[in-house]
Amino acid sequence: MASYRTREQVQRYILYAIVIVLGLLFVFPFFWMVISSVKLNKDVLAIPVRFLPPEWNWMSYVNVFTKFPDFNFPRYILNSFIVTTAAVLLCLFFSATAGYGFAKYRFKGNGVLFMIVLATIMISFEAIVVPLFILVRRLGMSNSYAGLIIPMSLTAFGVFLMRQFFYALPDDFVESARIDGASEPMIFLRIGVPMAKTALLALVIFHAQWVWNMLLWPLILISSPNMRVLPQGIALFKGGYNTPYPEQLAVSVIACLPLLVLYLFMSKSFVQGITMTGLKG
Amino acid sequence: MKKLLLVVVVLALLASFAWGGGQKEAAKKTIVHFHWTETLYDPINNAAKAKFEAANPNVEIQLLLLPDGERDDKIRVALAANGEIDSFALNNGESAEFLGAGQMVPIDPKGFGKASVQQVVDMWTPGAIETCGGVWDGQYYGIPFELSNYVAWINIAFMREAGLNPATDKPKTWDQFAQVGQKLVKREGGITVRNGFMCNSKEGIFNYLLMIPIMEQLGLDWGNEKGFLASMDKADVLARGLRTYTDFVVKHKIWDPALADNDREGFGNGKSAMFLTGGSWYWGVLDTYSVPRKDVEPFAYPRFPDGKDIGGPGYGYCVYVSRLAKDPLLTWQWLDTLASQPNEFIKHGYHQPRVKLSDGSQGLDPKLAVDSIPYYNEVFKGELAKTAVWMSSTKAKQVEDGVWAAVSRVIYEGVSVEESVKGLQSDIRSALQ
Amino acid sequence: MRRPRREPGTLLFQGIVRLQRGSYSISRLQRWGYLFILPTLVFFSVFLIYPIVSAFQLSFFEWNLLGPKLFVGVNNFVKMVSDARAINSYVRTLHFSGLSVAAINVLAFTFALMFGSRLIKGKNLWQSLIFLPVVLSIVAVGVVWEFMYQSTGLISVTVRSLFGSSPAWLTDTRAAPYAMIITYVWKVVGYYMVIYIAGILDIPSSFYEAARIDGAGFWGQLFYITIPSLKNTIVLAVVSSVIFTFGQFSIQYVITKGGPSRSTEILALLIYRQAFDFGRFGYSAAISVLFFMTLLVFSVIQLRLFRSGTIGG
Repeated sequence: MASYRTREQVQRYILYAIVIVLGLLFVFPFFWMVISSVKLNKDVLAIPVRFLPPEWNWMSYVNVFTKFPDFNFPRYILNSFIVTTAAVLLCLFFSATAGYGFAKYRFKGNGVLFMIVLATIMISFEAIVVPLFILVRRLGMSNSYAGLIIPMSLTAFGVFLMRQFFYALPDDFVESARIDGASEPMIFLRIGVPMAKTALLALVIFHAQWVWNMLLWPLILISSPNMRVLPQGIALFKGGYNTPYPEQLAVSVIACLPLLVLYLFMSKSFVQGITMTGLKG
Repeated sequence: MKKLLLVVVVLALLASFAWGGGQKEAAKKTIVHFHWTETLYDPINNAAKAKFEAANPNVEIQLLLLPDGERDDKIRVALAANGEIDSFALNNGESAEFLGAGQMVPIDPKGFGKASVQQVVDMWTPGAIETCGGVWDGQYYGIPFELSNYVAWINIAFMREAGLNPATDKPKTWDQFAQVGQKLVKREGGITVRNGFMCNSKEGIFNYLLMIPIMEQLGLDWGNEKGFLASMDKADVLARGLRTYTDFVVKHKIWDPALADNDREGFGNGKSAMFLTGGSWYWGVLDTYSVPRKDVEPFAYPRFPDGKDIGGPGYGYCVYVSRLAKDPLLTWQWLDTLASQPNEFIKHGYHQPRVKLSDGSQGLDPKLAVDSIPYYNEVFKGELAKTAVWMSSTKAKQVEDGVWAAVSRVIYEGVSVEESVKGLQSDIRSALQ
Repeated sequence: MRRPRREPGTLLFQGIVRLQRGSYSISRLQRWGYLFILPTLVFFSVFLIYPIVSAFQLSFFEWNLLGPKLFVGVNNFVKMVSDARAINSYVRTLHFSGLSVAAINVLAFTFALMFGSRLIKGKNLWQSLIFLPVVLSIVAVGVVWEFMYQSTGLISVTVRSLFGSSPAWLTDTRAAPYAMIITYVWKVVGYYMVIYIAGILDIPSSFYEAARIDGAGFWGQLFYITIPSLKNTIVLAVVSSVIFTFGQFSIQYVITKGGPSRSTEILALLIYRQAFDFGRFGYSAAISVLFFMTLLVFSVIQLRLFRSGTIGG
């Protein structure tokens, strides 16, 4: 009994050591980003590399909102929120229904249609951005939320993800529900969706961060400054002759906070799940 | 939980339809102008917008200040999709592609309250519109927004530190440039911590711009497509020019590309003793970095003892009215207002070559120019007269890419200069023929 | 130990039910299948498939967006085959993608396992740290990592103090591709870790109970329970990572712009450059077709090789 406990202790220390080193490695660039956002512009680039700012520049965060009257950051943040929320909800709808359909039903062309859907992520977005823009303009959706939201709610990855997870749903549950007289939509909503909850949560996080950080599509679609989203705002800092790094980094820090909060919120459910079903040492 | 989701969805969709697009007030005319963003100049451009809107209450200007790298992409896509684009700014390297495809309308003198195009042209320094890329097929399309030329810059504090005399020891030839660079380069523990000279190690355009004066000093004509193509037949001249530049990295070791990628930032923060891509506007930019103005002096581009007397590369920006402009006359009036604050810009060292405003008053005040730009008379003005102009061509980017590839092969891959010239020849020939 | 199969009795029962209801029930289910995938198919066709077909059509033309389209037949494809730059891009992409996919999946799986161990407290915190890079904007990531890779930047300094010398990460043509891989893997591994965690969560703990009773230790459980049960997840992660690593170029665009000397100019970047820098939208579309075909072939192979699901891929 005693030797088992010490072996476990050693394992624990090793694991902790690895985890701490890993954690530091992963988070270090973020620390650097945050600490640089409160340096003066000249200190960000100075060598020898100094970690702590010789002079603290708290004004950079204030400047972001006041010194650039053209960059209406509160509005950009609001736009990003609206677009991301709507796009994620739509994406959940598309992915869950299509994933369920592909996984749980045998119908002619299932395989082929799925490959077609999957194929839409095999082409880089830059290649279709021009035809897509022309199409969206023709539909009268330029410079509008709808024009931003709809194309950004479509992701074959979401369909793929949900399909794989719906495969794990035992057919017996579905069959017995059918025999009990439940309709297909009911089975989907009451059995399928709850059982794929972890996948749906994962999809929320993935798609939220993709839409939130998406630059190219809003860049092409939106010319009205009121409709800009946050990544466009960050990109604006790169001047031709001069880049104010502290402000750019300050905005980047602000920009990642909502996603972080979302992740922390969602991952609580992950962690609970892990402690219940995780591997035993 | 589900009810909450439903509410959120409905709200979001409602909001999107309610807000629709950018608020379009029925009575107002809008002019959408594509420009680039620069923290020092944005307030001045916004002041022009405010002034125009005050004078024309039924007009709304959408001044799109975009990151410089994306400006031409956005303009191109907007034009291709028949989007909303009334006017835009392009530099002389970019404009040929758009002019050649008929995307802009010729200058309308009525927009400036003048009777003839020549009267409009006379409001700018002679030759400015040509240099800034606003001329095509004998017609005038653009009005200049900026006319700049690069001069050489050196950190005289570093000179003194190395025992050099700033008054007499600034390099006049490319050989001296390399020698001075070697005295000014600083190494610690085997790595370079200060470059004697550096250029941008990531973006090809700057390296291409520096190669232009070098090649032109050696007698090649890189100012137009025909000359450029013809110069490909002179392999040994090309090799000499290329070697002069790449030796800074390879032989004299005064430029370590791994130290920093941006030369304007690097010089401004003391990571380089010299650089060659700064115009008069650099004084304003320098103020945001750590090296103080008093430690910095501009000087004329080095020459070859047996070469032509040609200075650093020149370039300019013009603003144009697009073929999709809803009201071209009004748009010209807007551009007139936008380009009528040369004295505001010159305070930051940003040079707009406007001699007279449309109401007859003085444009750029020469005395203000001299006061705002240290060494204006001694260095900038003289070099501008001898500048090597950046070629305007529809194949500009491919040419630039070919030259940068030639430089990169030597400094990054260790390829010999002769080999690299062969590659350059084939790239340029296939691009320009 | 494999997942328990359905009991024969259930199958029989279902068969009887189907017989009683007649063939009507099969086509009814089929109809529901179509119905479920309908919204997705409609929106995808309009907003994705139509532009993709448009883009492919473009590969038979030369177009600079501003002038008229010029029909050139298969000229673009012929040019591409002998274009050293396109070939270089293709090879670089395979290199980047291959190494990244391997690193990402191995690391993500390992992390997912580690955070499943009950030996570690504060799992939430550690997970979040690894996921943190995913939420950062690519511009910020580019700025930070570029500074760290420079010769006086943190990475170079650290490597030099540990090993005596450091490669010139961003200006050495041999090191730059690896610098890109490191940064990219750092940025996305959290994403795939979440996928693996979600997969692990779905493995019923009863499996592990049974295995422990049978005397299986950590490695035994890993190879006989975890990995087989994760087959669907592994397929998802590997196929997606191949597709995404092929298609991404923001890291290269922001940090090296394809340099030094085109050593990090991967296919997606070349596609962008040919279109938006050189104005050769037709040629760019032709390269996209090649890109697409490659991914299609890879994906079909992978999906067939590892037939997923209960109904069959």
